[in-house]
Amino acid sequence: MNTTVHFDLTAKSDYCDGTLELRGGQIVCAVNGENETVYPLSGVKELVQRTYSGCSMLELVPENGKTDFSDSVPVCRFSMAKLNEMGEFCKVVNHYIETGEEQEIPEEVLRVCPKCGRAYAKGVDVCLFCVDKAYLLRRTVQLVKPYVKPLLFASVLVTLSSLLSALAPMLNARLVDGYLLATDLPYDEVRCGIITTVCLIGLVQVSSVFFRIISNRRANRISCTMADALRKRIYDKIQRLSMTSMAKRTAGDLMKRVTRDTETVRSFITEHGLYALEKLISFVAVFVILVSISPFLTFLVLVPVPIVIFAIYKFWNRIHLRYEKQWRTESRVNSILHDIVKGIRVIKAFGTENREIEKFDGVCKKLFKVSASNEHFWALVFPWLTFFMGVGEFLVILIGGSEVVKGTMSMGQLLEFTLFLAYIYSPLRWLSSMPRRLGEFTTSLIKIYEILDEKEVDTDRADGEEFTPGDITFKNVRFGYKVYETVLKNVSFTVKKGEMIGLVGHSGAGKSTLINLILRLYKPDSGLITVGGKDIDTIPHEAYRQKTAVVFQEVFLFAGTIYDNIAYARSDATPAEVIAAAKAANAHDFIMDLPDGYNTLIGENGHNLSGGERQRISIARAVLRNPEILILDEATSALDPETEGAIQEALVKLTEGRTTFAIAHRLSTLKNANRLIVIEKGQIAEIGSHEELMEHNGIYAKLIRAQRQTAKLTKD
Amino acid sequence: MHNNDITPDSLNTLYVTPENCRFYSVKAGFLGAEIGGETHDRVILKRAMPFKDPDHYICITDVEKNELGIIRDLAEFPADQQALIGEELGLRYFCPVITDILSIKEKMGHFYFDVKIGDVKKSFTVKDISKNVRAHGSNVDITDVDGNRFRITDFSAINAKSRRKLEPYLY
Repeated sequence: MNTTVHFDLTAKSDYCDGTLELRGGQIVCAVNGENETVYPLSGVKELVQRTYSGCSMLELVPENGKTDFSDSVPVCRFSMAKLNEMGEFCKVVNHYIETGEEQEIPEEVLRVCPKCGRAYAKGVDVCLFCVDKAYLLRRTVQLVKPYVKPLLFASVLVTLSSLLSALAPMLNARLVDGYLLATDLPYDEVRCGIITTVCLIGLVQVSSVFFRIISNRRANRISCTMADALRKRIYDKIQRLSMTSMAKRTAGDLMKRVTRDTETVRSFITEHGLYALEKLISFVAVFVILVSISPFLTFLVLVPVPIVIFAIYKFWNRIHLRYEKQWRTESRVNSILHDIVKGIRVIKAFGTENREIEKFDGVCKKLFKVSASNEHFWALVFPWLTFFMGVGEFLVILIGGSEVVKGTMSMGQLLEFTLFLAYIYSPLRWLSSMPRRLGEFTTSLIKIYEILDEKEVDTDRADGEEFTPGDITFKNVRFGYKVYETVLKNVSFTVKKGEMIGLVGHSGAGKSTLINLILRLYKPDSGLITVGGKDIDTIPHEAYRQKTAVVFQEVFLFAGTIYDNIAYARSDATPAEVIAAAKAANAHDFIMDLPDGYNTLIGENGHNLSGGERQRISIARAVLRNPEILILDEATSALDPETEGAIQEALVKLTEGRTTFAIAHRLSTLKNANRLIVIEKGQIAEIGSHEELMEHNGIYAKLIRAQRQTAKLTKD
Repeated sequence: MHNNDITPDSLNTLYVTPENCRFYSVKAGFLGAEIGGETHDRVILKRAMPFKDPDHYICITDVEKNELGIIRDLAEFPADQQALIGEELGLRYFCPVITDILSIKEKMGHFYFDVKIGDVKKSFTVKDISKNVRAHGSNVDITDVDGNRFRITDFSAINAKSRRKLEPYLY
């Protein structure tokens, strides 16, 4: 059983290789394999992790220790790379302190590449530095598999088109040598030969264009189908991800995966993958033709190519960095402009127009400098690169020309050779831009598969039986969003079916976290939550969500009509049910006052609703759901007292007979609660009815007195 | 000036000086402080402006994050007190100084740095390089994917090879 983790800093901030092990009821700490220190866990309350800037430390807090933690015992220090590993170690040690059971440290938290020892990048499960090429190939094949046949078909067509157009130089050579320079042929034969050859050239060109058009049409169709399927797969997967997985990524990041990364993968496969066969075949075919005409001239043409390709590769790397710098500076200009336009009221109110003008001016000057320097670099270097790429052509004309004069090569052959040069350079140019495009493609592919491979919300344990809500019980529940920061500690309580519970506590005490666990957005790290006597984990997600509804402080209304937003809770609701829900939420009257009634559009280009109106729509949404378990998370705290009064009335109707959890900072709004749970620093501090808690004279009584005092002062 | 003007001293902010504050070290290696006659056996120090002005406006709190006072200027304190404060800050702010950049390789949108910190070779990964490599005056601060901080003190003084490697990424 692995209970060992590694730390990397000494007490004096030097790097080291330290180990911590939970062994036989004690922590054994060693630095560089020596100086073992043993910390017995008897008499220890918990092992805590304190995170600072760029580093963190573990310390043991003794039972009944001093309130200022000055008698805590520091165990070790470590850099941020070890944060998750140490968080897991804390969990294992604290579990041992509570239960006496030893647990193993999960392998997946030791997120270091076994090959290069580098830490894995956030949210990525493969080492991007030494990612296995076979992995990428396997993934690409997996992605392309359903489209192999049409892709091959399109690829063959484009290759045919290319080979057909490559016949043109050969026909040109025939035209020159066979007819234009032929002195011993009768005029009629020459004329007939010229007309036939020109017609043949025209025919191969037309056929080439025809094949290319069909190929492009096929490619576009495959490309759209592939992008569409990929986007759907990613979007579908995102919807099924757990909140823990979602929280690891920003909204922008997820959006980029659905839009930009799919586009990069699509364009690479359909644009570059499709042409790979064509470029390869045309290169080989043209190479064979050139060698058959003149091996020596072919050698001359190809000599500068490796050097030029290397130069182009280096040039791209350089120019890429330069343009990235320009891109970032442009982004900064845009972001400042966006801030100025959006915050114009603040700027005018504070009279800081000149300061903002100077700021914008400064960043514009920087953009000018970077852009001018890039253009200068481009203008200076690129023509030379093109020149060197074409040096082979000079050599061909110089040496080929003398061979024509000497009579060892015909004029037509020289013409054919020079025309074929374009065909050999085109695949080489294409190849030189490959590393960069391949880099973009592999990054996007890894990011897409990161989402597609992610484990979905755990439904394995769901037994599919019909679920009947009943009492809700928390047994020794412990939870933290990050492994090293415990938010809820040993939370235990039972709520009877139909009971209304008020959750009280300071900001950051853990009230919303408790709600998130009831809503099953997250899973507890340890302990058990049961609903109706059943482990919450074994209840099918769909069935559980059908029985719950939530009203948040920040109302989110989708772009659409009021009707759509209320009916969002139940797509099969009848208009009569939607109106009834709106009436119960005291929303019907204001909706009917709007010219378009329930069809009023809300959102960016729609009608602007007040905070109270939006909240009433969200309550109507919850009413329509007809939930057994109702969550009110600060549902009225952003509203003025008058609006709040109207909404309170709606909420009373809504909570009747339902198990309700309500969070409110304004304690007067919890007057209908049967019991109140006071949470303090992630633990249950008090539990009981309003009267009981007032009599207890603890945190709740103190909060009530403070609020009454504030109310009195405001009134005075 | 109005009677109710908000000044730095009007918001119950206690700016500590050597006259009303004395630091001492506690057995376990923690820092203790006597502030305005009250003894606190464990205090935490936090810089208000860690990048721009690390030696001014250093906040003193207890472990529960209750503010006990603010050091306006570290230089106001005698040398032995400065050493104690410096030691504590060194433990809270870990930002190793890069002395040499061996290589910066870009792979799939991530930048892999191989650097030397004194005699120790260190590798780390940076994402979003424009946000995570920031110049503050002559210093360059780098934050890696795990949240580790690294610093180049006086970018113009570091060897030319290292400077050339990082320069394209400085915005």
